[in-house]
Amino acid sequence: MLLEREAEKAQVAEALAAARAGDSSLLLLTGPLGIGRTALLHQLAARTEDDGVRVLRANAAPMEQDFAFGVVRQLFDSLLTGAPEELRDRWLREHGGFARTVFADDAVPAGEGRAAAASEAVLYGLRSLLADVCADGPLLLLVDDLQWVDTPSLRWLAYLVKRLHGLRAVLVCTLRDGDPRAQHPLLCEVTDAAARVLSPAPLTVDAAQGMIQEHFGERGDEEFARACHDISGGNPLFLLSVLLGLAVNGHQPTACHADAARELRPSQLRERLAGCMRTQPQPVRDLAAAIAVLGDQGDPGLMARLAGLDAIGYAAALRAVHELGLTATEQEPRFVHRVVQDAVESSMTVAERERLHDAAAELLYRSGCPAELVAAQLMAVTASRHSWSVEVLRAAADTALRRGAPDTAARYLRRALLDGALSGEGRARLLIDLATAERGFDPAACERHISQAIPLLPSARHRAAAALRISPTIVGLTPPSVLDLLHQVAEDLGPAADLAGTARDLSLRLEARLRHSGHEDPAELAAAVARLNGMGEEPALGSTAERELTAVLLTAATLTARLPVGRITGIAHRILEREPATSARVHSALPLVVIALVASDSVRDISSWLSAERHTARQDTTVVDAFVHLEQAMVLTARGRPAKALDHAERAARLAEAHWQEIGVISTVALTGVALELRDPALTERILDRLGRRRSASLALTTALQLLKAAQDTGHGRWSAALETLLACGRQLEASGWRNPVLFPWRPGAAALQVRVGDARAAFALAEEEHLRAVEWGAPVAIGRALRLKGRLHGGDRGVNLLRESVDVLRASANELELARALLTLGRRLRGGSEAEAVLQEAVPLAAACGAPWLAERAGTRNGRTAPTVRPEASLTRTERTVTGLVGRGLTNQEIAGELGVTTRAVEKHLTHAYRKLEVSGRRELIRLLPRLQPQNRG
Amino acid sequence: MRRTYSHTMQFNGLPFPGREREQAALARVVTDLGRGRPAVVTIAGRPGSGQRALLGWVARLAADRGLRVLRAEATPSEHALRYGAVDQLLTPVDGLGDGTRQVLVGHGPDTRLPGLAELLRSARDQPTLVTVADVGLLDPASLRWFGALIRRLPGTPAAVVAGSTGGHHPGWSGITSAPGPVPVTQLTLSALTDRDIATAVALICGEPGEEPFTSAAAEATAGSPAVAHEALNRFAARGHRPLAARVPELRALITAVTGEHTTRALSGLPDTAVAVLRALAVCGELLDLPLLYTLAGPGAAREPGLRATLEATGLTVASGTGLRLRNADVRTRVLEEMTAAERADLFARAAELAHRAAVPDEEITRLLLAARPAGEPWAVHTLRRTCAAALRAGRSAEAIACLTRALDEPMEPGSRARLGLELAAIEVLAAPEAGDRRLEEIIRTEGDQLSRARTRAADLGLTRGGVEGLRRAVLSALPTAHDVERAELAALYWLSDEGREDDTALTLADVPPLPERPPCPAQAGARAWQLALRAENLALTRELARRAATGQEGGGALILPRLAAARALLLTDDVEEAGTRLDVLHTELRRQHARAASALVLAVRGELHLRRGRLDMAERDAAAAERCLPHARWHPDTAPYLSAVQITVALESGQTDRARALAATAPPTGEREGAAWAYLLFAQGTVDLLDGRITDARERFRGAGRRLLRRGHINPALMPWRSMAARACQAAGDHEEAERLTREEVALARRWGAPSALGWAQLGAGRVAREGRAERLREAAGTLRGTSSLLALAGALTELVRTELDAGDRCAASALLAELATLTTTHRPSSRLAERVRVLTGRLGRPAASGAVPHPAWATLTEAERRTATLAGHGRGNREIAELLSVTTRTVELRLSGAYRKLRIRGRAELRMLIRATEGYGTDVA
Repeated sequence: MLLEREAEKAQVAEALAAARAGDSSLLLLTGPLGIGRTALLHQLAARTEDDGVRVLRANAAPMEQDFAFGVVRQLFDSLLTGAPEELRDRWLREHGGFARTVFADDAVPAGEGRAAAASEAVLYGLRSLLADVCADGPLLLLVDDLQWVDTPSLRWLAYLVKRLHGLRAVLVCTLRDGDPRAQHPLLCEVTDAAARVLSPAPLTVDAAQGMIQEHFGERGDEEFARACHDISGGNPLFLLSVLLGLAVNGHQPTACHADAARELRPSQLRERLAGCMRTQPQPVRDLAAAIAVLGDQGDPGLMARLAGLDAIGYAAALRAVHELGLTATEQEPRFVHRVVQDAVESSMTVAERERLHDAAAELLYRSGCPAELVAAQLMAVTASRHSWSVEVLRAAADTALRRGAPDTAARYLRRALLDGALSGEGRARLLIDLATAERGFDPAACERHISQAIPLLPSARHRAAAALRISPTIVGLTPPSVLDLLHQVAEDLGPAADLAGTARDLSLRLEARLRHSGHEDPAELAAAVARLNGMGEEPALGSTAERELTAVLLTAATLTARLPVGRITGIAHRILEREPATSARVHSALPLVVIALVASDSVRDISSWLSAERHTARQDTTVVDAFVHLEQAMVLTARGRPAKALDHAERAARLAEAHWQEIGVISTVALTGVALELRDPALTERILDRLGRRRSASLALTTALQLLKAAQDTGHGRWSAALETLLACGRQLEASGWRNPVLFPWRPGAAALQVRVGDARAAFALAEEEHLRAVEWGAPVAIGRALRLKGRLHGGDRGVNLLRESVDVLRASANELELARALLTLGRRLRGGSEAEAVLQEAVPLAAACGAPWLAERAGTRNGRTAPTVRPEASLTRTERTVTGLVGRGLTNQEIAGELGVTTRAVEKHLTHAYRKLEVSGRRELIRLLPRLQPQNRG
Repeated sequence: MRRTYSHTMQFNGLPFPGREREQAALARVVTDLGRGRPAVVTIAGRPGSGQRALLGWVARLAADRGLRVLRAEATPSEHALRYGAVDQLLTPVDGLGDGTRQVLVGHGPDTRLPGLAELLRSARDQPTLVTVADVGLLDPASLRWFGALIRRLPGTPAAVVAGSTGGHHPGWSGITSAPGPVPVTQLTLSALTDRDIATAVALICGEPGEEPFTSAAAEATAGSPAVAHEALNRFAARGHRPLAARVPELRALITAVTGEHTTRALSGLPDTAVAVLRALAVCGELLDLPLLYTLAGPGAAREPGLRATLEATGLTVASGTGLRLRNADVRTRVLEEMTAAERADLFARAAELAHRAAVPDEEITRLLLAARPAGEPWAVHTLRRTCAAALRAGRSAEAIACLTRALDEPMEPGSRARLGLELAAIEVLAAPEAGDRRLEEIIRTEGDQLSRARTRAADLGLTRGGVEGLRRAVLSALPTAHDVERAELAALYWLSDEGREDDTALTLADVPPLPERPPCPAQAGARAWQLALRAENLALTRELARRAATGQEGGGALILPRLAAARALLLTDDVEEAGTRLDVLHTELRRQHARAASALVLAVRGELHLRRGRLDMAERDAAAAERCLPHARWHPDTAPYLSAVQITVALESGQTDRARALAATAPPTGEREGAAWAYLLFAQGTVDLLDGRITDARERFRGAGRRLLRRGHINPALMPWRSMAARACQAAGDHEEAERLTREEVALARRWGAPSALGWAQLGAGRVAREGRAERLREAAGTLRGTSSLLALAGALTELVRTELDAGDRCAASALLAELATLTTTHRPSSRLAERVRVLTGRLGRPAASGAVPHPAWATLTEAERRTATLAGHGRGNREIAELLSVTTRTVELRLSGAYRKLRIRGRAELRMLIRATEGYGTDVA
C-alpha cells in the first residue's frame, strides 16, 4: 500500500498524457533514504502497464557501477525479451552497428565501455531504437537510483534527455538525497533537463495509522501511532521496519507498547542503512562512525577530530549525513534513531571500531572530559597503548566509588589490569585499588586480590597497608586466611612502640584488627580491656589508627561490661568528634563505636552524627548503604522506635542478602534486635525460618537467634523449652565473657519463665544478678529494665517502689519504649487511684509515639478494664479532636466549617485523618466511639 | 542538483521578475518572426543569472504562437560530440536525408553543414525559432554550423536566440560581434534588484514576504535569480510562510543552493582557476594579487584571461585592484571541495606567505589554526604572541586555541613542557581537567632538563586542587628527582597531603618527611603550614613562613608553598605581612596568567580582609576571585573554600539573602575530600544559626570540626568552630557541652599563642558563659584590641554593649559603642555590624543612624588611623584613646594628624562633624 503519494502519481500521469501527444519529459524523484522512491516506481510500473504503456525499468546499484551500459541493458532487456521475435530481429538488424557493443553477452569492460560511450553511433543507435519502440505506443522509462548509474549509461541518458523531442516517452529517474555523485557533471546534465522535481513528503500521523492498520489489522492507539511516527520521522522505510519488528515480537499497537516501538532497532532497517553507509565517501563514513562511537558525549569539535576532519570537512560531512536522513537536525551530530548507530557500527570491522574507541578515549582525555567517559571508551578496546590509560581508569574508578558504584569501579580497574603494562609494584597498587573497590560488594575477591598484591610489594610497611584494605569483620569470626595474612604482616612490621609515623599507625591498626578478631575469646577480651586501661584516662586519638584501636578496645570493654558506661561513652564521643560520617567508615572499626554507644544507652548524639549521611544522596545498592541502614536500625531500636527501626533493618537485610559472610551477619543481628522489641510472631518466624537457617559461627548471631527462639517459644507457651534455650544462651555468653546486660538481656526473660515454671527462687536470683550487672555497667536502660523485673517479681509496696525507681531511672534513658513499659507495669500494679491514672496518661502517648500502641492496649485488656486510654486517639491533633467533638454534637461538615471558620474541604481533610487514626470506617462508627474519646478531649 | 525554478516560469505565464525588459525584447523578436523577419539575440549573464530560463520562456512563447521551436543546449558532454548541438536541434526536424543523419551521428565524412539546407528550406514553410544555451560550450563543428546559419538568415523566417554565461567566448563573439547580415540584439542579464526579489517571493510563496524576509533573501542571494528561485521554491515546498521569523531557514537554504552552484561552477573550471579560487578562499584579501597567484601555484600569474574567467564564473567579484570571493557561502564551498590534506597544506603555505609579507599576527594565526604544522620557529612565536594578545583582550578561548595549536608544532621537550605549562594555566578556564592531565603528563615526563617544568607543573596543578592524579604523578617522579627538585616535590606532596582528609587510604609513598627546620624555602613554607594547622610552635611557624618567601619572589619560586606560608602568617597574627605576601603573589600570578592560582590567592586575601573587618576589600576580593575563575571551573575540592568566603562576606555585609542562596546552592558535603569542606560547613553553619536552625547549625559546626580534627588540625585560629558550636549548643540548652567546647578552644588558643585566636576563643567563652559574662567579654575585647582581628573585636564589643545595657550601665555602654562605631567606618550601612551599632544606639536612646554613606576618604586611612580618628571624633581625649588602644599619646597625635591630612580637615571639631554626619547622629550629642 502506498500512502500519501497521490500528488506524485498524478504528476506522472499528466506527463504521460503529454507524452502521448508528443511532449516527452523527464521527471526527477528525489528524497532521503527510505522515503519511498522505489516503492513509488513500482506502483508507477504496475499502474501504467495496464494502460497500454510500455514500461522499461532499470535499477542502478553501487556494485554495478563498473558494468558498462548495465543500466541501459536493464532498460532494454525487458523490451528485447518481451518483444515478438521478428520485431526484435528488426530492431537489432536496423541498429546492429552498436548492438554488439552494448548487448553482447559478455559484460563490457569499463574502459572499452567508455570508449563505446563516446561513440556517437552507440548514443544515436540506442535513441533511435527507443524511437522505434515509441512508434508503437507511449513509453515509460524508470531508472531507480540515478546516483549509481554506470558512466556509459549515464552518458547516454544525458544524450537522451536533450533529444526527447520526437519520442513519446516519460523518463522518471530517482535520485537519493545527499549522494556525492549527484555532483557528477553528467548527472547534472540529466537532472538539469528535468521538467519537474518530485520530492515526496514525510508521512503524516494519519498515514502512519494507515500502515498500522495494514500490519496489525486494527487501528493503533493514538499514542502508539504517534510514537511510531515520531521515531520514524514520517519516513516510510523506518516506519515499516519498526512495525514489522513490533509485529514479529508479537506486540499489539496499544499505548503500552509505544515504548517498545521507541526502543526497537529493526535489523532489516539496519541492513539497509549499513548498505547505504558503505557507499558513502570516506569523510561521511568517518563522521558517522565518530557519531556512533561518541554518542551523546561528543560536542562537534570532538566529533570532527575523531573523524579526522577539519572544521570545513566536518560541516560538509555533517550536511551529507543529514541529507541522507540519518540525523534529526542539520546542526546536531545526533542520529535520528538508535538503529542508525547499529547500522554504522555493523559497517565497521572490529579493528576499526577498536581503533576509533581508542582514538575517542584519547580525544576525550585530552579535552578534559570526566574520567568515566574516557574509561567507557577504553572499555571497548582490548589493549590500549596510551601511557595514561591506567591513570584514567583509576581516576574513573575513584569517581565511580565516590558515587557509590563499586562494581563499576572494579570493572574499570580490571580493565586497567588487563592492559598488562604494569608489573611489580605498579601492578600491586592496581590490585589494591581493585580490592578496595571490591570490598564493597565482593569480600572474597577483595581478599584474593590483596593476597596477590602483597608478595609484589617491596616493604613491610607497604604490605601492612595493603592488608589493612580488607574490611574488618565487625561481628563474627575473621576468616582464618585473613587472620594469617594480618599476623604475617604485623610480624613483619614489628610492634608500634618501636615505630614512628605511618609505620606506627599501620602497626596500631593491625593490632586493632587482630585484637578485634579475638572478640569471642574471654582472655583476649580481658587483655584488650587491660590495654585500654593502660592508655590512661584520655587515650590519644589524634590519628585514625589510634582511633581505630581505641574503638576496638572499647568494644571489648563494652562486651564484657568491664568499664563503666561513663568512661565508654566519653571515649566514644571523642572518637566521633574526630570522624566525619563518611561512607568509608564502614570499612574501618568505626561501626564498633556505634555498637558501644548503643550498648551504653547513649544514642542521642549518634543519630545526629548519622544524619550527616542524609546529605549524600546515594542509591541503595551497596554494602555501604546496608551499613547505613543497619546503624539506623540499631540506633532506632535503642531509642525505643522498633517500628521505624524495622524498615531500616529490613532494607539492610535485603541489601545484605548477597553478602552473607560479613554484613549479612550483622544485619541479621540488627533485625533480630528489632524483632525482639516488636514481638511480631510473623516476623519472628520469618527470621528464624529463613535467616536463622544460615547459621554462622558468630556468637552474636547465635545469641540473637536464641533469644528470638526463646521469645517464640514463650509466645507459644513452650515455657520450659524457652527457659532451657535462654539458660543455655546465658551460659555460653558468660563463658565467652560477654556480660553486657543491654546487648544480651537474657535474664529478664529467663526470670519471667522461671516464675511460670514455678521456680521463684531461681527467678529472684536471676533478677538480682541482672540488677547488679546493670548497676555495674551503668546504662539507665539496663538498670531500669532490671528494676522493673524485680518490681514485677516482688509483690506489694516493695514491688511498687521498685517499679517507681525503674521509671525514674528510665527517664534518663534514650529508650522511651522501655520507659513506657515500666510506666504501664507500674500503672497496672497501682490498680487505680490518681497515681495510676497519671502514670497511664503518660504511658499511653509514649507507647504510641514509640509506634507501639499495642503495648498499652495489651496492658489495658490484661487489667480487665475497658481502657479509655488505650486507643490511638492520642495521636489526634488538637484540630482533629475539635472536629470529631463537633461531629459528636451532630453538626454537619458545613456547620463545623462555619463554626471553625475554615473551608468544608479542610473539615473533610481533618475528618479523613481522624478516621484513619482511629481506624473507623466513617462518621457513624466515629460517633459510636466518641463517648470513649471524651476523657481525652477534656484532658 | 534540482532545478525547480524552471517550472516556476511555467506557472500562469506570469512575467519573470526583473527580466521584463528582456522579455519584451524577446517577445518582439517572436512577433517579428511571425511576420517572417529573422533576428539574432544573444543573452549574456553570469552563471545563474537565468539565461536558460529566458530561453525556455521564449521557446514556449514561440510555440504558443504556432511557430516551430528547435532547441539545443551545449554542455560538456555534448561538446565531445561532433555536431552534438546541431543534432539536438535537428532531432525533431523531419525530412533529413540519411546522409545528413549519418554525418550528424559521426558516421561518414563531414559534408559541410549537415542539415542546414533542410532546416532553412523547411523554415520557409514554418517560421522557426532556434534557441541554443551556453554557446560557450559548443563543439567546433556546431559553432561553425551556427555561424553559417546566422549568415544565411536574411530572408529566412528564422531567429536565433543564444544564451551564454559570461562574455568571454572567443569563438562565439567572433560570430555575433562582427557586423552581420542580421542585426544582433544583445541582452545582458544583471543581478535582480531588491524589488525583483520581493516580487519573486510573493510569486513563489503565494503572499508578499515580510520586509526582513525579502531583504534577507536579496542580500543572501546577491540578486542571483537561479539561487533565489531555487531556494524560495524549496522554502515554499516545506510549507513555510515568508515571515521574518523564518529568515534563518531561508538563509540555510540559500547557503545550500549557493554551495551547489559553486560546486558546479568549480567542476567546469581549469585547474589554475580553481587554484586561485582556493587561494582566495584561504586568504581572503589578506594577500595582494601577485602573492595570491604565488600561493595558487605555478602558471596562475602567467595564464591569460584568468581573471576574466574567474569573474565569468560569478564566484568572484573585483575588489579594488584585487579579487574576492562573492560571499562566505562560496568560500565555504570552495574549501569544502578540497580534501582535508590539501586544505591543511594550502593554509600552511598561506601562513608562511603571510608571515613573509609581515601581516598582523592575528591574521597569520587565523591561517595557522587551520594549517598543518609549519615546522618553523616563527609559527610558535606568532601563536604565542596572538595568545598573549587574546588573553589581554579577555578572549580566553582564542588564547587556548593558539597554544593548543602551537603544541602541534615540533619542538624540544623543554619548550614543549614550558608551553604545556602555559596552556594548562589558561586551559583551566575552558577544560580544567584537560589542564590537570596535561600537568600530570609533564610531571611524568622524564629527563633532567625538565626538572623545573616538573615541579612547576606539580605546583600549578596542586594549587588548583586536583589532588589524586597529580599526587600519583608526583610520587612517580620522586624516585628519579634530585636535590632541589626532590626537596620541592616533597614539599608539594606534603602540602597537598594536608588538603586531604582521609589518612586511612594507602599511601605507599616513600616521601621523606619534612625536616623540623628545612633550609629549602618551599619546604619551609610547607612545614610552617603543617605547624600552624596543628598549632605547634608559633615562633617557629612564623620564622619558617618568613623564610619561605625571602629571596624567592619573582619568577622561579613555587606558588603553593608561598601561599601556605602566607596563610600560616595569617594564623600567627602577622596579618599585614601575610597581606603583603598575598599581594606580591597575586601580582606575579596575574602576570603569568595562572588563573586558578590567582583566584585562590584572591579568595585567601578575601578571608584575610574578612578577619580584619575590611568588608569592602573582602567583597572585592571574593568577587575578583570568581571573576578570575568562574565558580564552576574551580576544582570541586577547592570550590567550597570560595563558597565559604563568599557566604561569610555576604553575611557580614548584611546581604543575608545572598548568603542563604549561596549556602543553599553550595555543593553538598558528600564523599568529597578536601580541607575546604570544613570552611564551607562552617559558613553554612553560620547561616543556619542566623536563621535559627540550631540543630543543623550544631551539626555543621561539628562536621567542620570533625573534618579538621580527623587530620589533627586543631588550631582554633583556623576557624572558631568550637565557639560557634558552643553557641548552637547553648541555644539548644546544652550548657555543659557549650562550656566544654569553649574551654577547649581557649586552652588550645593559649597554647598556640596568637592573640586573635585567643580573643576569638575568649569571646566565644564569654558568649556562652552563664556567669561572669561581662568579665569574660571584657577580657576578650582586651585581647582583641591589640590585634587586627577587628571583626572579632567588633563582636566582643557588641556583646559587651549588650551586657552593659542589660546590666543598666549606660555610661559604659556608650563608651563601648563609640569604640564599636570606629570599626564600622568602612562598612556599608547595611552591614551586620553597622546594623547592630544602629540597634544598640537605639537602645541607648539615641536616634538610629540614618545610614549615611561613609566619607570616601575614610577608606584611605590606615586601620589604626581610622580607629583613633573615630574615637577622637566621638569626643575622647588623646590620653583616653591611648589607653584604650594601648599606644602612647604621641602615637595618637601622629595618627590623628595623618587622618586630618587624608580627610582634608583641619582639626578635631571638623572631625567630630564628619563622624556625626557619617553616623547620622543628632548634632547635639555631646
